[in-house]
Amino acid sequence: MKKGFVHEINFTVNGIKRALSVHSNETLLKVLREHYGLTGAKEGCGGGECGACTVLLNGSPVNSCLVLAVEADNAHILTIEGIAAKDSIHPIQQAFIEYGAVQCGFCTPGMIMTAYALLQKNPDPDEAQIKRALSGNLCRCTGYVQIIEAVKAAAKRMKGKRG
Amino acid sequence: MKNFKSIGKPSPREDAYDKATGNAKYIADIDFPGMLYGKVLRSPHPHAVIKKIDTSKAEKLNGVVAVTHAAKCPYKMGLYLVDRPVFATGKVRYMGEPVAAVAAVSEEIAEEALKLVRVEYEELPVVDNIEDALRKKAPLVHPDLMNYEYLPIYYPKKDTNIFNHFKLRKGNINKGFQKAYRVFENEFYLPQIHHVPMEPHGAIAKWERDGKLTVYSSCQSPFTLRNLIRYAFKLSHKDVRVIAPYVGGGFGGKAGINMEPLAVALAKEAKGKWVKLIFSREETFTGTVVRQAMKGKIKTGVSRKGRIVAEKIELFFDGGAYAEYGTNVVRAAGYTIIGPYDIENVQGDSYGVYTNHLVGGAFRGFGHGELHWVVESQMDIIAHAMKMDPAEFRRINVLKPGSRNSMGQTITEHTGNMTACIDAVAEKLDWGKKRMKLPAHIKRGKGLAVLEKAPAMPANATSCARVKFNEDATVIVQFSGMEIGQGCIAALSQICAERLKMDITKVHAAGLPDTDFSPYEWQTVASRITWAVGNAVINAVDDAHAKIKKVAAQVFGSVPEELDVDGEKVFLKKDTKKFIPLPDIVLGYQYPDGHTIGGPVEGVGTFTPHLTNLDKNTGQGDAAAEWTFGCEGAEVEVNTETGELKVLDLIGAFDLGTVINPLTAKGQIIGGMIQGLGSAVLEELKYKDGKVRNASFVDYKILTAADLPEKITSIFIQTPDAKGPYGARAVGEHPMISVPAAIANAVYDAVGVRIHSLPLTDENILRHLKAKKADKGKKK
Amino acid sequence: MNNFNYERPRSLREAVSLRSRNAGAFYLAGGTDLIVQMRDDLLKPSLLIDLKALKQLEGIDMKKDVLHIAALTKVSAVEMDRTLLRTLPFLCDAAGFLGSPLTRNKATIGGNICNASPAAEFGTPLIALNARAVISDGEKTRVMAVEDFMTGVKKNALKRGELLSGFIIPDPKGHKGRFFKKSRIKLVDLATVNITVIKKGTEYRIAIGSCFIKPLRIRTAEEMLRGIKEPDARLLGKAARICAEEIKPIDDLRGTADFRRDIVFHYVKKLLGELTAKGGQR
Ligand SMILES: Cc1cc2nc3c(=O)[nH]c(=O)nc-3n(C[C@H](O)[C@H](O)[C@H](O)COP(=O)(O)OP(=O)(O)OC[C@H]3O[C@@H](n4cnc5c(N)ncnc54)[C@H](O)[C@@H]3O)c2cc1C
Ligand code: FES
Ligand code: FES
Repeated sequence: MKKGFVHEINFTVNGIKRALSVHSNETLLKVLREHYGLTGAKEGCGGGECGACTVLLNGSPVNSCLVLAVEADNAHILTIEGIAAKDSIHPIQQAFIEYGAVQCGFCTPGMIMTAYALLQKNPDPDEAQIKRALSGNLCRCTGYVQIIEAVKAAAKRMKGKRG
Repeated sequence: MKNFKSIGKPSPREDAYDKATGNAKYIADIDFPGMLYGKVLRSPHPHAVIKKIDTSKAEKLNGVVAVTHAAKCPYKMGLYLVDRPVFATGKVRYMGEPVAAVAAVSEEIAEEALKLVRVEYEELPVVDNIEDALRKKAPLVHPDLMNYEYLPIYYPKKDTNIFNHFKLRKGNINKGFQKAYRVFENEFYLPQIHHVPMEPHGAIAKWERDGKLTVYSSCQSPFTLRNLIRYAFKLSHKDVRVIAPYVGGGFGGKAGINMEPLAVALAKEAKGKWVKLIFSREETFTGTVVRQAMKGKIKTGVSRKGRIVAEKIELFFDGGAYAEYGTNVVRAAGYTIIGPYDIENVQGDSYGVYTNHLVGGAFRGFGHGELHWVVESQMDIIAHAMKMDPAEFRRINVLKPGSRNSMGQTITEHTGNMTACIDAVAEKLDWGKKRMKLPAHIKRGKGLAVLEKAPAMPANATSCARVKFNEDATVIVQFSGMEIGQGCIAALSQICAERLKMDITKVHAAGLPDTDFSPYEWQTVASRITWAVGNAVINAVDDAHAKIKKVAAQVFGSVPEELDVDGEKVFLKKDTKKFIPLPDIVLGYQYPDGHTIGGPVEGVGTFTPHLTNLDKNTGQGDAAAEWTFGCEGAEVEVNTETGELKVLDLIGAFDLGTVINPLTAKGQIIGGMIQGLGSAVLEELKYKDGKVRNASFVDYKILTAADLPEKITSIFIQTPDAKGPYGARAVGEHPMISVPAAIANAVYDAVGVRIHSLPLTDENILRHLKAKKADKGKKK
Repeated sequence: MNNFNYERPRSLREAVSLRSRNAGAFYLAGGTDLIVQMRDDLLKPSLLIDLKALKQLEGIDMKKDVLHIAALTKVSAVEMDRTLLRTLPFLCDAAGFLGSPLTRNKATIGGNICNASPAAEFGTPLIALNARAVISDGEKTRVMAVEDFMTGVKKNALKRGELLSGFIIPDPKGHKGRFFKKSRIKLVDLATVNITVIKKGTEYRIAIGSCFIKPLRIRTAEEMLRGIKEPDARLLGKAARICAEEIKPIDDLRGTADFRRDIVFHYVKKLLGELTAKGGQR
């Protein structure tokens, strides 16, 4: 392999420090899925259009299909597999289940990660803010209504916990 | 409503946990050590002769294990009409048709190898639309049509591009029109659209040297897939095993057989190795199937009082390059052709037409979105022309108990209540009420449209379910209806728990089928799973109970008829103190001396709807086991200077019988209405010279959360179905069907332009507004 | 995607020098244009020069009444910047219409202008603001109007040894402005048309995107309105008409040329109306 194509990266994935050799043309999505078996993030388009691959990069949700793995050197990555507590799933996950926000489920991990980032930044979003925040995560099954309801419900519960 | 324990409750679905945690495995998430990666070379031309294929360079590339194409894989497939080669053979018939495929140790190498395959083409004249295809001297997409194998319930026409012609004849059409006070004739059109499941299609296959084939596939119909693969590759059913993981959305696009043969063809050349083939988003657009484009001509005769007396309809479906499911779409649209109306004299003709477009297939609605676009636009035109209220006009003409539908079936109290659906939507829309004052260039309008659909399936579409008791008398229910998002895992667990008189938490649904282990299921299509498999589950529970009672009767020295079973125990009806707890009997009953009778309790249940074939010349008969009626309505706002359309309110009311799970039922309705809204205002596969130009998310947009109507409402009408499990009816496809007509009718109400062609983009609306203005100018 | 070399230089000079020495090198900012093009095999760089480590290329600053926006500033940062929300909210609006929230967490304002799409979201607000592009060769900088920096479809005025270090907006105060985007769906779509109109005192500026090979200023219309405090509806209509006539749109998958003209006419009139006290009221 020609020098320069392979890179050592160090990053934190779901709280665990990792070191890995990656090819410059590998995306973060590919590395998470293939090296770490974190297949919660999905490839729906590979072009930044669908949001199925959403993960948090240093706290902000991004399309991991458009992030090169080398770019993630020194970064903190959070995926759907990393948000549950030891004995219970995250309130957003719980609300998605209870409110019928999950149908085929392919968009779900990405949706939840976007919602997670939203509620971190804005614990009390109104409906318009939720719709806007979710606009980069396509869902073909639900028509979004129950997803929006779930995010609202999760916000309420999380606030209750904090307050 | 009866006093149900599980039915009607919003129980969360078991599969949702897997999906919300990222644990759920979809096809792309499955890997095997040493697996190869497949890639497909596709035709850049919509119609061309293949003069030469040279794969020698690709084969030599290090890391390439298999290269295949028609010469190595001369197999054909087809659901009802066997017209489609696995790889283009002799010629290509659409842009994107597979020409060759490679399997290599990495995706990169497979891609590299594709570039080394040389194909020489000689382009042929392209059949680029329905009119071209039907012209007298049109180039034939399939000159050999009449030599293909097909089922005898379909009717291809010699020396034409017509691969199926379905005829419906009821009453006396000429007499009907003679009686008419006024006659209306119109034409409507809608373009091809794509299902756009969020999960791209994929399959993983391994062909062992001993002749056994295993296929993992993101599919709606593992058993039918197995059957079609075994047919195409000339294998025995016992040697083919299909395993279905979670499916990331289907909508019809993963029914039947699709891209799996490509993975199988590669596996055949790379024996003993797993070959994984996952489509890119772009390939999912061009390389799977789409909803047919359609042109419809309708002529309706109406009496002075507004009663429809005769109707003649012709539907021409652009089936694309291969018939696929299109054959049956043509038939299903053909037998429902007038929609939910009571019309005495009908002449209906539904045609499937080959073109050099993407292959038409099954799509949520299965021809009904298309036919209702024609019928429900026409009904609105007539109502306005007759100066009648469009809701009232429909109330007068729709099916009611005692009416006979298009294929001659008699509607009863149990069929469902069409009028109640109309009333519910009208009420929610404040139908007929005055509107608020707005700026001069902003206009509001309301519209509604009705619909009906029955599961479109062959008369022998059959289902099986199994109910297995565990040691602690909890239960596993098995079936092969696919969980494609619709919620069948939840619904079938609920039906199972209800029948078992058991708490739902004691029931686990094993809903991911493996054809080696799971009970048979025809297909997960036609909105039929809850309805058909639900019945099979009921029968399976009854079978398990019968087995329990038989053993218990021996213990009690009684007869099964004197016993009953609930969620905890089997007991004597007369003396309920005499009982055996279920854990003591579900693996057999052991007497104090150790002697054991009976064994593990497994109930098996089947269900086959009662259907008949339709008469060849009249289309009359019993092809529909149950109907779901519905009505959809919208209020819209149109900007007359820009054509911009805003949907303020979208409402759907459906008679879905007993609602098994209100949470998932609402999900189906809202999800379907939003998909329908996309097809109404936005979606379209755009062609130029037979080539698709928008096969990606950059230019094929679907609605996002930001595009929702201001209000959206789902309404359940619950007239129990006589044959459905606990009175349930199908509702999976229906919500998508009449949204386009409801929106178009609302646009007409708002601005007085009638749009005959979908989608109702701002640009399309503006063009019509300008044409109307120009027209007025001329008249002055 | 082809394989390529990857470097993350620590200094501007190193970045520029890498670029000068490698013919097939590209700068990587957010990558939301670049990686998509690489994925589709439209670009096959031999080297990507990741600018992420150059912190001086990130940030929004108001210095002595001159606004500096560094090239690598994320679109989401522009969208939410407090200073901008106060002084130039329409620039934040434009940012908020670029791609999806996910895109915006990665995409940069500099990348948007360097990529030079005719539909580029920052095209119209920046040229309407008379923004200037600051170009660095590692040592010296030169400055040119953003309007001239974008030279055609996917073309910019950078020479090989240069990179875009940011934008300056001289005198940002006192602009009243509106940004508008017409697309097929509400958000997350490329513009069929995008428009920025600005009123500063009695000076008007109108910029229109996705209607020519690059975003356009319509100076004839601007001149016609210059000096008039409250243009009446007729005049606004006339200005809008000029805009609709002067653009040179094409038919594409997002809309026909005719439709674009209709949209431009309606919305230029509407936006100008919103900016002027009485004019444009219907
Ligand atoms: C899903 C999606 C939606 C999108 N929607 C929109 C939209 O609505 N509107 C819109 O305008 N764009 C849109 N884009 C395009 C893109 O996101 C924007 O143009 C973005 O601003 C590009 O910034 P970037 O930092 O990602 O650029 P990059 O991709 O990193 O770079 C783009 C080009 O500019 C060069 N470059 C970058 N920075 C510099 C620099 N400082 N000096 C010299 N050269 C440089 C790069 O070498 C490359 O050639 C969309 C993209 C995606 C994937
Ligand atoms: S896979 Fe990344 S946005 Fe679609
Ligand atoms: S649940 Fe299927 S795509 Fe969202």
